[in-house]
Amino acid sequence: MTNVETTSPVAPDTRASRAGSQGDVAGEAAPTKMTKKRKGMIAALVAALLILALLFAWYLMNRKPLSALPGLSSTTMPHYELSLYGATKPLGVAVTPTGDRIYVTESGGTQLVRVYDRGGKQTGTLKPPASTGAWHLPMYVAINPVTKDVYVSDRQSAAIYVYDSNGKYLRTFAPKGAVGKFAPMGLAFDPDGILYVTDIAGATTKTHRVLVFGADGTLVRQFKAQGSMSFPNGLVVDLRGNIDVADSNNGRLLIFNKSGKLLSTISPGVGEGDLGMPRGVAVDEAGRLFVVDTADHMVRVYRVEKSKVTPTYIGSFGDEGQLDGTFEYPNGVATDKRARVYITDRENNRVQVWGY
Amino acid sequence: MRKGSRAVKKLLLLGAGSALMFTMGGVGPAQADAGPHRSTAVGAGQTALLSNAGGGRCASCHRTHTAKAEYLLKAAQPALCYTCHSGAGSDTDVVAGMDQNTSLPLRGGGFEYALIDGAGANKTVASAAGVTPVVLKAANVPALAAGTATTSRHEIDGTTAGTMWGNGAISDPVNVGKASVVLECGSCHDPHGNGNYRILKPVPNDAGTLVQTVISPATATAPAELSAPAEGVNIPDAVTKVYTTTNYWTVADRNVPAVKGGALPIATETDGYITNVSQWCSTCHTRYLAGSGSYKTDSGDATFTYRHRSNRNNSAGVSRPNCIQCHVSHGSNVSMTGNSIGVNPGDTAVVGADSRLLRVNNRGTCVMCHNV
Repeated sequence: MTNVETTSPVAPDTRASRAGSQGDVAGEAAPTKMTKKRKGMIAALVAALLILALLFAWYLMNRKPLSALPGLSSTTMPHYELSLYGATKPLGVAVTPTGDRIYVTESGGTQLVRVYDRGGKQTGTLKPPASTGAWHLPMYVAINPVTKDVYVSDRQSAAIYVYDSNGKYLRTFAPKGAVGKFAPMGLAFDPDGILYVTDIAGATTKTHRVLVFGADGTLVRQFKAQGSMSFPNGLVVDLRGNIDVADSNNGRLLIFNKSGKLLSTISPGVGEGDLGMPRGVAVDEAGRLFVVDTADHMVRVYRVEKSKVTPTYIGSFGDEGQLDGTFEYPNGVATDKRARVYITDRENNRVQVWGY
Repeated sequence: MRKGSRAVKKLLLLGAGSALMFTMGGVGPAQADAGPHRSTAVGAGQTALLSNAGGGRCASCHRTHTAKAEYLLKAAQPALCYTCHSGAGSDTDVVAGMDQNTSLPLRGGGFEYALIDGAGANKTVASAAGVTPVVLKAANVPALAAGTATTSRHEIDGTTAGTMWGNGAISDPVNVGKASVVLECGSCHDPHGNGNYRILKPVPNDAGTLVQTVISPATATAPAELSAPAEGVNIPDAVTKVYTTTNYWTVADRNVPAVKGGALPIATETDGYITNVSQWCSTCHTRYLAGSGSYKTDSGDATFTYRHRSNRNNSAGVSRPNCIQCHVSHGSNVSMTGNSIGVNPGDTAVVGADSRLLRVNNRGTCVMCHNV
């Protein structure tokens, strides 16, 4: 007889069997559910990480803070970052969208327009030729978004000088049409290159007005305010397409539509968001409207909303003083696409750069 | 598995890591401002609505509890004043010394620049040579097309301490004036408005106590000429205000009415500016006010012993020796060289190229009148 080893069949673990058997249908299905769930969670995690990475990449490329993301709250006040020195009694400021070139009008000292790079190093000056006269007082500056030319208003010669982006003088702006006596102050462009100018010519304030010029310099329209403006200074085309004008000596901000109809007013007063002596005005991509209040040594910040004509006050920054982050008669303001705000600090002889 | 599930969830939340916005209310008080200088003071018996008094103007410049400068100002002068009066808020640009609307020079010059053509001063005489004071057919100190830096000014920076030359009574011991005086715009001008010419204060700050004295005694035909009274000098304002000039030797202003609450020193005079301005200057520069014959009369003062007449206060003819004929009030850009460089009163120091607010280069002011 041959020995054959046989192995007794192992009795299945009944518990396990039972369980298995009980869940046989479920047991085969349960691993699938858990896997799917886990897969879903992992996928979500990966997606979130991907979003983060994209955000980080976007930030790196644009050097924008996350606060500048569309849809996020825009009530934060900026913080002081640095100052640019070298200009004496600076008044007006303009900056390229990327922030790589900053133009500053100097009302004291050499009375030129100084050009700085992003790091605050002066790279050049803008000065009209001798044929335009011996004495100049540059006030405000603006960049044409279409041609990239730089426009500078001059108080002494009652003119606007035009330079190319490299600082080469091109011409003296020659308005066409029935402009009459012309004393340009604040300058602003809309995205199509239409030029808006506050004009303070005249022996009385009754003639103070806003002039609108087409791309070829032709006067398109002009408008005043009921009761007259008094030395209007800065102005800007906001995100609603309205023209916000600092009616400086009346202590108010006037909001006009493009046709020149007065829509709303931010008044002088003692309430939150009321104004003292507004001078420079600027908007950023987040819809924030910056109004420099020179007599209060502050910058007022409002939000331009599509649902409301009057911008909503959201806060102020700055205070009177000489330390970083304080002002002595701030005047002009400009913004770039990197969520930076540039403010001329007249009596401290510097341009302050604030950021989000 | 549950633990593992929770861990994944936590990781998910962490991994999501979307940037949270922190909103901060950058809230600060906003306060009022308003327009030009004008008085809302009410007279005796008048009533004014309180809401009109001040008209929101006060907060333009003042803070009740948080002022940063004297007189409860938001900030110190002159920067406060230059906010408007350097081109951005007014046509009267006292920094540049010109009216930015007309591009004409301001009568008082400017604090940083002036347009006085001191080198171009000229005269045409009517009388024979050797007559002093010369009778002029014409005299002209033209204006420049563009300003040049001032070589002298009333230093109104609110910081620099200077001497108020000649302030004080006739003094036997040497006393050149009041030392350590700090000037600001508001030392001479009342920004609230007071109805006076150029809103000049009747008694400028730091002038001290005024004691009226006889500058020239009465004659048979004219009353005594007096120094500023204790209450100061009110030069009436003009209805038609003229801030500019094209000839810095023509200093009269016949738009200024002659009378403001008092008798005229010269009954027939119609120019309230010339009539009163030297008296006003002497509220500070007391011992510079001198009458007829003062060039040969010992005043009794150890420093200002013999003085050029400066109180000729009628505008008849051309060129009369009063303060404003030779000096501007804000700043001058004329040049002084060589022997024209002056010495401080009391022979204390050579003042360099300081032009002493004069109107003509190299002390040429003298020969505008003296044909020597």
